[in-house]
Amino acid sequence: MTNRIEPLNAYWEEEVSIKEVTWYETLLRRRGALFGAVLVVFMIFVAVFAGWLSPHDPMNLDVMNRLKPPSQEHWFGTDEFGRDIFSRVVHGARISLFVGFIVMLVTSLLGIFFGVLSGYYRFLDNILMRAMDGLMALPGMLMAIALMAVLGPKVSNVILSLSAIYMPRTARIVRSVVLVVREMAYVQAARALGVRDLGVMFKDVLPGCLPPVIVQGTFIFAYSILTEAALSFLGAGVPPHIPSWGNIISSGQLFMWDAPWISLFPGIAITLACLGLNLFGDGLRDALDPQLREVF
Amino acid sequence: MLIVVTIVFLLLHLIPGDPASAMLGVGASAKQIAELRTHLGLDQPIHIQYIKYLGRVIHGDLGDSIFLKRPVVQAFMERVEPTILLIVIGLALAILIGIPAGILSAIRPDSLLDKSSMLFAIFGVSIPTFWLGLNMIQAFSIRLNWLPASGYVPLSDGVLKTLQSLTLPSLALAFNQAALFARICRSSMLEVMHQDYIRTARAKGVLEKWVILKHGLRNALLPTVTTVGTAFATLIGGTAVVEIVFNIPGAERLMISSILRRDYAVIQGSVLIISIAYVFINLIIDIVYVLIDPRVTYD
Repeated sequence: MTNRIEPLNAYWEEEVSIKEVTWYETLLRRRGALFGAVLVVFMIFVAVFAGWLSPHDPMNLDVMNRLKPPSQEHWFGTDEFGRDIFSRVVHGARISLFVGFIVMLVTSLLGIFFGVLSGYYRFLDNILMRAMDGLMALPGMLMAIALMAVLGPKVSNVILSLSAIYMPRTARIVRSVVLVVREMAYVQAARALGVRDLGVMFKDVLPGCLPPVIVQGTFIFAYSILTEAALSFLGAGVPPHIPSWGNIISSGQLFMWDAPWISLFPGIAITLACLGLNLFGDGLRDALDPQLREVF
Repeated sequence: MLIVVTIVFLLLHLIPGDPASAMLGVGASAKQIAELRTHLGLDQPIHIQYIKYLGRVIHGDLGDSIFLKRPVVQAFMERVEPTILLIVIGLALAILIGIPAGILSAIRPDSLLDKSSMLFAIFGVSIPTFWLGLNMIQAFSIRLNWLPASGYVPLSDGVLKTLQSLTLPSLALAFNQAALFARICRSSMLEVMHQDYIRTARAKGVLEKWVILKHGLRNALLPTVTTVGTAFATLIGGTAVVEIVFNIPGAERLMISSILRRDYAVIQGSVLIISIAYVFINLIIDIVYVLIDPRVTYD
């Protein structure tokens, strides 16, 4: 009787043949995320080449052609001063995406800074997190309005206020990751080897915090675009003469009956930009860290 | 609470330059500025100012509005009715639309209903509220003439009329939050429906309806209840734009017009009142959380 004994390593070979799915492959497989990424890239392209893409000067007044509906000459029509809406929306992408991008950058960097400090040094934890709780205890939009009211309408102040309201969330997320990571064996090993605190934070703790920060960053980018538009619409955001999407909608509000196109197109632009960022963010979240689904 | 009061106190000191001259504008004389500084107590050291401010807040005195010539609390309370109604109706609508949409999508994942409600949800979180409001006025008031375009009818003139005047604004306000609720409810419901106790309940022969409502929904509701707290914060901030778009004389509209008038006492007072209300609401949500989930305890 001969029993065929399978070599043990056959199982190993089988396992080796399973290809590891990397995060960008997961991302590419999701149609929604891919569509979102394409939208975001398109918007960034429009913002970067705004000067080259717009057929007219966005500030150029042309009283003879005021409140003209969309035509071949003016694709999105003109506003109450005869300014070309298409050129203004294209230039508006610059302001809105710039504000969103810088807010994302500032909140991520400050969030990592405070989050890592707070998670790593327990004695700082109480002070820093109570301060973050205080900032989060005020409703975000209200806080942004109040800050803009006292600081005055300027692009830099919009960035400052939005960063102040979104940073605590990132800091909290980073802190929660650091609390887990700092107890991991490899971090303990690094400390036991005598690596200095700064080295451990940068080389061992920081990389673990990046995926959730990147995911949160895309959502903050989208929120910032929405909130900046709302602030500008209220007259408490970007100064009114700068063609930001919120400002264009605000100026079109008075002409809703005669010229609905003035506020229609910048609104579509905001929706598409945020849609792209949200879809891309959802995809990134699923690809980088499926456990995060519950957090957002 | 103390942190909130401290932040609101510091707001006035964030004004670049001298707050008194900023309030009075360019044309003010040096004497007027000095008088206002003394009136506001700005000539005293900051810690004395802070202690005095705390004392006044405890007594419910939030200062007087320079422009309206009335105490801030009184001016705020006169305008608060539409704001509270907007937030309450907006939240109720968001829950009534969002949660059923989330449950239905989770029961039949990948169905047409699921796909369409998730498409609505992703659009919902991307659309700016004020722009949606403007388009609603355009569609339902100007073109179809179904509902009033703007304005507010107070409760004393009849509840029905009030509700009619608030339908479009609260729908615009609820849209974003309904979308968010649908997304959260769907994902937590999907997770719960894969748990062992759901399989056990089905194996016991419990009717599917009860499995979903009693075993599934009750557990899936927890993350959604947490979102209600965040939704409150968004709604409180969001009413400002809705009040402006729909021309509703609410408390937040008062705050925005105070920004243009540099009436800092009103801005400071409104932010404080709204923030304290928000902290209280969060406390209530924490209590509701314990009622829904007996496993949660607070030390």
